[in-house]
Amino acid sequence: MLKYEVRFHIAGLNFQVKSNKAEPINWLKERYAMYLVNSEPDTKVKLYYYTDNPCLSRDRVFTKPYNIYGKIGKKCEFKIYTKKGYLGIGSLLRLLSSVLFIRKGGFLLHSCGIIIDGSVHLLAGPSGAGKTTVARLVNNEYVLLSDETVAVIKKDRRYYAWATPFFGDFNKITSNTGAILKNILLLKQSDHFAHKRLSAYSAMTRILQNIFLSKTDLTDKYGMNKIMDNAFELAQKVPCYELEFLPDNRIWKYIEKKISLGV
Amino acid sequence: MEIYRKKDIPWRIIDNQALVVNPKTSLIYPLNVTACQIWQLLDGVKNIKEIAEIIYNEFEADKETIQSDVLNFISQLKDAGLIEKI
Repeated sequence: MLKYEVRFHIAGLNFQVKSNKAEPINWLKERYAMYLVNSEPDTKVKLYYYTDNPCLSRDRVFTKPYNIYGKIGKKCEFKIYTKKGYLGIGSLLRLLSSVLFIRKGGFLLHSCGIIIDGSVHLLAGPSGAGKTTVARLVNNEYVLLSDETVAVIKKDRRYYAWATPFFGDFNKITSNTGAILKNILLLKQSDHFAHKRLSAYSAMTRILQNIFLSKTDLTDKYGMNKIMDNAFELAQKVPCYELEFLPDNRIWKYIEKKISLGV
Repeated sequence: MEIYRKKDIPWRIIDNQALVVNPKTSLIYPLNVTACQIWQLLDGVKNIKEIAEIIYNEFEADKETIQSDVLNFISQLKDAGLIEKI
């Protein structure tokens, strides 16, 4: 009996998570507070905590470390069986979301997302590149989507970037929103500000290096070719730059005045 | 000995260079113009000598160096789990 439930919205997906245990649902209600909605779900997740995995069907979409069964389509339904205390619900939802975004022509990108003048600038890079550092420099003039993971979605032949609850150390998202993706800036800490446009090849390489990838067989089965297609198209349609930066708040004016205007 | 690219390895060519990904490890292998050309020649029909001959006809370098470079590159692809030998 799944008597505990929560609904939330992430980057165009309306999730419903039900469970026979209160703890994961309460964790989601607290952690995803800004993302809670009452909308009709298009992605249903049923989370069963058992001592043993009953292996009820053959629709298992991937195995370790989760036992997940279900089908992915316009509407998605997943059944997840896990031993008590084993499942990290946050990691699981990040994994499911990443697969669903890949199917929508996008992905989860390790990046700090900022809305400047109505469109999103993604400041991307691996751990230590400076995503959280620049997120801390965001003032009230701008909207912060995430300091760690932004959802990139393709819709009507345009790219959008959305906030996600998959944040890093700096737990301060301004709002659950999204906007048109203006550019991707690959961070490089320096003693001055400078930028250079990357070739489509360099851009695709750097985008691939910063996509959230899971080493599960789900990625093998449905994802890797699609990820390559998505990165290939994005690298050719959205301008990518390498941004050398100093960790101070002049970065926003630099992006606004120099990069956005193509100076 | 003929060599071919594994079927489950996704790759794309962009600006005459290639990006190859091993889905099992999620490692990305960027290939420059020459490496990309060799990669495309690994079709399971040509052997290493024939591939080296094609590359030799396009570049100004001695035959031995090119053969050794091609062999070395193919060995790296094998270690990365991206190709198979027939």
